[in-house]
Amino acid sequence: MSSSAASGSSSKGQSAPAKPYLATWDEFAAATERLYHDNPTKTRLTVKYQHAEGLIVLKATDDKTIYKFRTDQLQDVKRLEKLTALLMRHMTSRGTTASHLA
Amino acid sequence: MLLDNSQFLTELMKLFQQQRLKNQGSVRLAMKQHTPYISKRRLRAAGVAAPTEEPAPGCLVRASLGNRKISALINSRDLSKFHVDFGNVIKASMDSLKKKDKKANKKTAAAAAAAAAPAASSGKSKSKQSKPAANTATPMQS
Repeated sequence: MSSSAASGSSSKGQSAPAKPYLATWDEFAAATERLYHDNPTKTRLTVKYQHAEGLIVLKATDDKTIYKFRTDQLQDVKRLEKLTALLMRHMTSRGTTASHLA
Repeated sequence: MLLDNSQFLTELMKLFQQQRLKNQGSVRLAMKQHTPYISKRRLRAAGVAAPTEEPAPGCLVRASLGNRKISALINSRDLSKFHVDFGNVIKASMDSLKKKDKKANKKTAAAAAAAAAPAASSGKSKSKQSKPAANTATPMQS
């Protein structure tokens, strides 16, 4: 899946970012943190919760790369809470704003 | 609609409740870093001097369900309280998910049963012998 996405994006140039669903939570969390450290002002995390289906879909993007993750496990809600707390802490600290890029 | 932190959390709780009542639709949350920026023109109009240092970055949190949209900007000051309350709302509301897989439990149960079975078949006498002499027990078992 990831290989086909990579070939798709290279043929289209930069217009179509790949949308791979990552396999594990840890991969997604690591990718999100990395994305944020590379581009703190543009990176955003999106969570979509569907109560009827009991599903959470997560997306982390800096408008160039996209990482997605789906889950229906209750234990991932706790992990999500930790990840959001971590990201919020990064986002409100001065160390990771545009000033560090200058 | 931009709200303050506590209002945002109350409204977020309401969004989740609404979703539960209707049993359809998705609550979307988004967070991104946002540094509040006031243009110089506005400051001049207000007659306030420009702040000397860069404003502290904040975390913009947005939530939406259908047409209803709410948002809040979190500062580092409010962070510790907010993320605790936010975590509580999330954990309380996102409850339609599956609990830990029964398959995982079955696997561990099967593994435990498999481990117990050969130990039982080898006989209790062997286990009694292995206790005082652990070194000799391993070559016997292998």
